[in-house]
Amino acid sequence: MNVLNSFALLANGEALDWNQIPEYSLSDFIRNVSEELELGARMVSFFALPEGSEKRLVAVLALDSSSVLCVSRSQPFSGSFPSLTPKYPEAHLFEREIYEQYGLLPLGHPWLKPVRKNLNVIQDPKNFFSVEGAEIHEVSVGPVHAGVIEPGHFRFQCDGEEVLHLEIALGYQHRGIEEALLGGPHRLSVYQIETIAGDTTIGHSSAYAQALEALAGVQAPLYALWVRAIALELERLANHTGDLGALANDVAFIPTSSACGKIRGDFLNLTALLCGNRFGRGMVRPGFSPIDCEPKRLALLSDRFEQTLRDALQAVGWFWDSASSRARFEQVGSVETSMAAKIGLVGLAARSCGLVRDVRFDHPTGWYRFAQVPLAVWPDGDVFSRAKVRWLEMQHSGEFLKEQFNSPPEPESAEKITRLAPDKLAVSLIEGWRGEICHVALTDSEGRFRRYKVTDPSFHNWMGLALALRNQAISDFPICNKSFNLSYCGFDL
Amino acid sequence: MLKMFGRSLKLRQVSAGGCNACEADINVLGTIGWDLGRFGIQYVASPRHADGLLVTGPVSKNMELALKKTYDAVSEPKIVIAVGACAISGGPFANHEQVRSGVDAILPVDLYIPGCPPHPLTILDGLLRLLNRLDKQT
Ligand code: SF4
Repeated sequence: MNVLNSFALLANGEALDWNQIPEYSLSDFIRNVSEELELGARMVSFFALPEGSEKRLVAVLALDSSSVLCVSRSQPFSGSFPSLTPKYPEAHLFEREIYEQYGLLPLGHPWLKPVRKNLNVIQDPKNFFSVEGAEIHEVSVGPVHAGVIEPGHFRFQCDGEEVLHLEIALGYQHRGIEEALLGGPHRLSVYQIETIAGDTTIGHSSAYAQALEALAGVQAPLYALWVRAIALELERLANHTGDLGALANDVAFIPTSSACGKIRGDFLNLTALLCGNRFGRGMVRPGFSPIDCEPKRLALLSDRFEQTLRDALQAVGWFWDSASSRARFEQVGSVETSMAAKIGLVGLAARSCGLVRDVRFDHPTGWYRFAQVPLAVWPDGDVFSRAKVRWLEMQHSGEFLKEQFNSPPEPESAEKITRLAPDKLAVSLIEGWRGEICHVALTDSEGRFRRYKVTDPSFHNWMGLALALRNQAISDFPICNKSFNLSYCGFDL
Repeated sequence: MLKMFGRSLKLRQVSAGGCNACEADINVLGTIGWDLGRFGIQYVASPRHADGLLVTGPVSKNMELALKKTYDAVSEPKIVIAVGACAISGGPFANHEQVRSGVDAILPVDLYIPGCPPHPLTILDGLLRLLNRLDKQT
């Protein structure tokens, strides 16, 4: 039997009737999902939801090369399910999350711990992997770190300077976003979506808008899609510029670090020129565009953008011209391509390991169906590679934006979305600056959210940082960490 | 007490459950465009070196203990500044059972700086006003 028959197929940004999604007994469901993963599908989302007194599992997989997503669900059950993790490590955190959120036990999971809620269990020293031996020492850092940065707890098992193992414990930023969305959309929902990760406001609000449009059966006007693409690429440029500056700072290359700190702000100010807020709050709303950028403002935006982009490329260029700084990034914090694929890395971290993986390219929606951004991939998997991919993406997004500023579609009026269709499931992917953002929304018989599953790219990628540290000098942790620059709040929800 | 901090104010920032945009705009004040150091204000790594805390986020219950411990580690006299809607009242996460809906639920707050996130100028304005240094500068 073709395994794909056991899944419902849909494209990114589409919705399906809940009862169109094939339903299998737990063991068949798990078998189908593993067969599909075996054939090369990628796990995009995997979560549980309550069904009467029992629970049900839902899996969303991506077939990137054919631009298709597939969904399947298990029949309701209770107790436990066979863990996919031993064979498909990319499932590891999803299964831990299912265990924490709904108490379903993934049997055979090699490292079963809560993810973000049960902090007492998460941060109990007993529950960390530890290496024994007379020469071994443990370094424990956080949750409060030395800089102005979010909280998280890191435990390094070290042999002298060398890190043998790093375990990352998160959850400190947990503020109950998924729970709050239940029964929504509420008046506050869109604001909570915008603040899942403040530096990815556009990414998450675009995923939300796209999901709601699919559930309401509404097409957003072209103008709204154009605004979203511009905002998304500006967000990427601001963050990549900031990250390259921060990386330069960590190897004490001050010219790039100083200039990028300021230029990042210049990009944020361009976002503010569009919507009044540096982080893009209020810029993206389901169904329409709250922004109408009149020609005069567009001309100003376009002028300032060219200047800012020139400044940014120049400032980062200084770094690439400095051989001794460049050398600090080479062969540090490497993740092998095969490992990156196994643990399901996404976004720039995946592309820096040579994986061709970008929602804008594999599952294009919105404006990206009409205008393409070239993919940036670099094979080495090290800090250098992650810096390089950012640098390439800055240039690509820069060229893309210059073109888009010249071709705004006509603003059209559109209705706000007031009602969502009942009993539908929508999958919405957006390539945020860190990588794939996935929102899966399921409505109940009243058209309210019965489940709203958010997966920030950081959810996939924190494991990448942990692996990048293996056999590295602990003093290289800062540059490894900055080269990923993952979100704590996006993970903690 | 504020007179004492007038020329040199060292702050330890603690992020407690927000979205990280507040932290981003706090960080911006340290860049060359703003150069917070010229006002004698500096972010420090250790609470032992700090005169007070700059807190962001609604205070998630998971950060409550760490925030209290950090506060306790700052020596007297000390101040607490709540930056952003979250730190003031819980912001978009107000009344979630996972949060304490504002810093003043667990610590005495000396200054509230509003915004979501506050613009760097707003944060700077707040800090300078607190130190009573705004008039002299303008
Ligand atoms: S106040 Fe707004 S910007 Fe600041 S942390 Fe809270 S949600 Fe984020």
